[in-house]
Amino acid sequence: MSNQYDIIIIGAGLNGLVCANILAKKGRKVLVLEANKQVGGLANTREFASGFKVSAGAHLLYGLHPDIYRLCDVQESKIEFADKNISTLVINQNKEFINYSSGEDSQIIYSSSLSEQQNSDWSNFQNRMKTFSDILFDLANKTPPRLKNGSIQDYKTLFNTGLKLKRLDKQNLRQFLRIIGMNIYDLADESFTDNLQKAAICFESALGTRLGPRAPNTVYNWLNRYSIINRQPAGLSVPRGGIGSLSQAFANAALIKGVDISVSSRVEKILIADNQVKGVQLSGGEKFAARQVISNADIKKTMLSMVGPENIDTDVVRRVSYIPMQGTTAKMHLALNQLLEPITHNVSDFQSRIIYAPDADFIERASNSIKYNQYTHEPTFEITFPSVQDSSLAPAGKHVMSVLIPYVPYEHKEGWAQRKERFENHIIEQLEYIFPGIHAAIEHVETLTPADIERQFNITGGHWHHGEIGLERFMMLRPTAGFAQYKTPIDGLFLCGADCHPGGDLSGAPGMNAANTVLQSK
Amino acid sequence: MNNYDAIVIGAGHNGLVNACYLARADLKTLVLERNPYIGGASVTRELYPGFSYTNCSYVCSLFRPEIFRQLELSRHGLQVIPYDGGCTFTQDGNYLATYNDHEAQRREFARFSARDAEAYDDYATDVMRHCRFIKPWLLRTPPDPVSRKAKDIKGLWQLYKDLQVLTEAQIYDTLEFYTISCGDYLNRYFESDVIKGHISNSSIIGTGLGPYSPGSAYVLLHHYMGEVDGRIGSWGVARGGMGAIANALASSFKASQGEIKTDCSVENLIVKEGKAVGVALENGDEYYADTIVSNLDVKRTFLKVVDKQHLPQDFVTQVQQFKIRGSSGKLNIALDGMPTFPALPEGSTAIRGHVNIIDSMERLERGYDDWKNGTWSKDPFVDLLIPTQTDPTMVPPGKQMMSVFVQYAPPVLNTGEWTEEDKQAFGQTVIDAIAQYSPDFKDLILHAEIRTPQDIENEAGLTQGNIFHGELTLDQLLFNRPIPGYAQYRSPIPGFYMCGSSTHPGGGVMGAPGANAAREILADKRMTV
Ligand SMILES: Cc1cc2nc3c(=O)[nH]c(=O)nc-3n(C[C@H](O)[C@H](O)[C@H](O)COP(=O)(O)OP(=O)(O)OC[C@H]3O[C@@H](n4cnc5c(N)ncnc54)[C@H](O)[C@@H]3O)c2cc1C
Ligand SMILES: Cc1cc2nc3c(=O)[nH]c(=O)nc-3n(C[C@H](O)[C@H](O)[C@H](O)COP(=O)(O)OP(=O)(O)OC[C@H]3O[C@@H](n4cnc5c(N)ncnc54)[C@H](O)[C@@H]3O)c2cc1C
Repeated sequence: MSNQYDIIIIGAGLNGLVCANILAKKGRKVLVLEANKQVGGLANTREFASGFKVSAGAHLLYGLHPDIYRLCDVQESKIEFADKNISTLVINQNKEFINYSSGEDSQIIYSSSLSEQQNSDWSNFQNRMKTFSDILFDLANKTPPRLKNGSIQDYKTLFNTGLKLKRLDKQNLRQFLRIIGMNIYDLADESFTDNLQKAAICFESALGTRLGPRAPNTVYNWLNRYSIINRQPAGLSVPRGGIGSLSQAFANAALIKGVDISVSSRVEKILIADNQVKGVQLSGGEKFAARQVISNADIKKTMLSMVGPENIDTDVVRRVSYIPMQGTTAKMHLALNQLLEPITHNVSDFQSRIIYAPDADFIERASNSIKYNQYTHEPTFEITFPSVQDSSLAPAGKHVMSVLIPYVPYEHKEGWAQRKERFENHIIEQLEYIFPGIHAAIEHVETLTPADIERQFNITGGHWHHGEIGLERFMMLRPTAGFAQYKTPIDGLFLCGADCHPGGDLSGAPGMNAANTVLQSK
Repeated sequence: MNNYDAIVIGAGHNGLVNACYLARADLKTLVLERNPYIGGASVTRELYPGFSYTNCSYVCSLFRPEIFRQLELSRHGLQVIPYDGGCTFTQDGNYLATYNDHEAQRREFARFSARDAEAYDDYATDVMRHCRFIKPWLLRTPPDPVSRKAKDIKGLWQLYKDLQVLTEAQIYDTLEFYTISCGDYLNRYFESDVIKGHISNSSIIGTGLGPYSPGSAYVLLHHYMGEVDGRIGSWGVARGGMGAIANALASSFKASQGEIKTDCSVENLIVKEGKAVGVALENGDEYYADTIVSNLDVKRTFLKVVDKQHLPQDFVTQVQQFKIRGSSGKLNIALDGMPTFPALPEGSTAIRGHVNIIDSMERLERGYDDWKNGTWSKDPFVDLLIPTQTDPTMVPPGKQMMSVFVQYAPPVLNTGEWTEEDKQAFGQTVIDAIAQYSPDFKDLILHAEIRTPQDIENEAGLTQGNIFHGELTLDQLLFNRPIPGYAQYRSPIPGFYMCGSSTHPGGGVMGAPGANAAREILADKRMTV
């Protein structure tokens, strides 16, 4: 391995890998340096108990931008899926439920008590929102335009967006301009009469952020996620072998194109002279040279630690350090010695993604405590049983349960060292209400608080989107003004992670847009 | 006899402003008011012998100086007296004082954090820039973004031009400012919890938001937009209470031959052949005019006064969906003398201004959690003002009147409608909270009027007690206010207009909705103000 490259990418998260593929395809000589032993970042599979494997970060695939496979020469058909079109089961404490499909034409599949009208409320809502989410979808693969001093490209993007808005019929344009600033709670309330339907929409909007459904700007979050979900022919899916297989596929495609990927290589410093990137230096001291460096690490790690405050204006340092990046979502992995009692008396329950969220107010209440650096005593959950779809993940007859817990603070008021065990016990106690008997079935538990996620995945704060997301932090405001075009104040240094437009989830879009920016820059 | 050129329903200050402009254009104008008194939420009432309560709104700062001048309110007796002072008490027995003077304020902040004192310069400059951006828009009709009419395209172009005079960084700051939470915004400048708590107190007034809710930062502007004697950011009290504003408007209106009838509750809009032609009162009387203007909030107007059959179904649905949750209550208290506040040094003028007792954003946010949960804040935000220090004419010699604005209080409790017991318990919560900072306060109380959002609705006619006639979130601002497509003061019924705070630019004793509506009405008649 020579130490001279055209481009160095720091981090082999999904976005870094996508970026590497696109650049290598255009003939660039690319090196990817990943701090961890495995590629994938939050998109990774690993063993958490002897014989039990789990997608350790993200556990469902629903948001890959449709252009990505083609741009990266990854054949979707070559990725083996353990399951596609996974439905979502939303339940409450009285074991009432609705089950709906995601992806194109989301529909209610079955429910405990929905009327016909309520069933069609669901489809009507999705149809109505599709018009609006399409506007966001069209923006997902664009570099956010500068609003002043922009290039021709910037004005083109602005103009085309304006045109698209103008093409909506009057009624829709008015509605779009109204709901985009709303909270999801009120929109759900306007659109549904059923509590579980409202809860489903609110839950999906809030996932990964600290905002409760009553917080303004959360409709944007829902639309942004939905804009990509409803373009997925496979709906919600999981690759065989967990999410890590997806990263592996993109890593392999990169290797074929001649990309060098080096794991266990933590970049400590970005080397700069006269405000121009020269290369990077690893924690072991080894140096690599390149005139362009793209960071898949978050903006705070990149600018405040690898570049260092001494190399940037104090104003910019301030701007970057104020981006809220404290993680909000905890993850729990359970090794079970048997499958649990189904909730709806239907074994296919465990094939679904299960959301425990009785109603929108419940979710809102759950969001309260994170504001004060505490976890809620009445949590909501997203739960999957990956081993049900993919038996390779657990020993025969045994199972893996993967649980997302929203609204868990990055720092606990009393310190996680004091609180983590109590937290773990509390969550298991809560799960026992939903799945009686779970306690007895547990062989092993792994709990990742946002602080653990920070440590294990090298993300400041351990945040799902590498930083809060909402209307106040979208497009040219993401990750913060001045960085929205994937560029930084340092010549030759770019960003490509989830903290960039259009944000987190396994979309690959930030990586794709960053690659295009780099290709266009001199 | 009963025929007029224009009829205004409601003698709130916006109805009166509107009526003044119509009368000045020589339209024979009638104002009909349900209550025996005028002013709506801008009113002074004697509810305890010898004491005048300014019992809804209590300070004047948003009122547009253009309107003040054009309607010659000085000549009609309105006097706004500026005052200095104000403070936030801290739980540890200290206080943070408010000064109108920038330098003095900076020195005060320095008592809590030297870094924050320095940041205050930047903060003040930035917030003032946002004020200047929004100010000209208060007296403009919102452009309709879907229209192809020249005036709307011109309006949108104006918005674009207003942005383009800013630097690129300032443009992004502006976009952020209107969408971000007060908490995130203040964190950029300040580190002291007390300073952030003190400032954030003005980010939640009248809203159904907490300081950590996105969209709460811009509410800070309400505090800085004030204009007394042309000095941006300072507040004043109207001599004689806020009712003095209504009285001066009424006097100005009468000078232009306008007519006001009180105790006239309008029950119905009379529509003939699709056009508004008159109104019918509860007592059966009818009045006719081809221009009818409603000062009531959009829900009262279209769900009570107008018969559904005259409106498009879609419009009615949108009116039903209009968000108007109330969040504020009020106590008006007659005091036997001036209460003492031991935290303040002898002779401090801080007590002359707004006194707050919430010293951190967290406490404020927890108060908001109570409201979401359907109960009043157990650790309430209070904005306490003793205007009789500045204007002693409102009370007998030696006595004082205290106006206490309270948040948060829900329009309906999680136990159901407010009962008399709930109301007393709410009042007691507030009185106890204040007494923590003033040991002799309770003993000085002669009488206290306690007003829940429900009372505010019942007496002043503000639906759900929402002080702004509708929440001020992005989905209900500018061209979205009150209903997308109906933001230019016209309703679906020809000849029927809106001029209350449900319309752009919203609530507060500002007069802008009334003046803007008058401009549109006269434009339809090919007349000008
Ligand atoms: C608990 C949790 C659950 C989630 N569940 C889902 C889900 O089910 N579905 C979904 O679509 N999304 C989910 N997400 C969101 C999604 O995982 C992320 O938004 C996305 O994976 C981010 O990808 P990325 O490539 O931008 O960053 P990352 O995956 O964070 O990759 C960044 C990479 O950079 C590396 N790195 C950092 N610093 C250095 C350094 N100094 N030197 C070298 N390398 C470095 C890191 O090790 C890491 O590999 C979840 C997120 C969390 C936290
Ligand atoms: C407790 C409280 C404190 C406030 N504090 C301040 C403050 O300090 N500073 C500030 O600037 N703003 C403050 N506000 C807000 C401000 O007072 C209002 O936003 C503003 O006064 C509303 O004016 P308006 O003319 O639009 O409507 P309103 O004042 O509500 O007028 C509507 C009028 O219509 C009448 N009406 C209703 N129904 C009928 C009917 N059927 N027929 C005839 N008439 C009818 C009503 O009686 C009322 O007079 C406060 C409000 C409240 C409630």
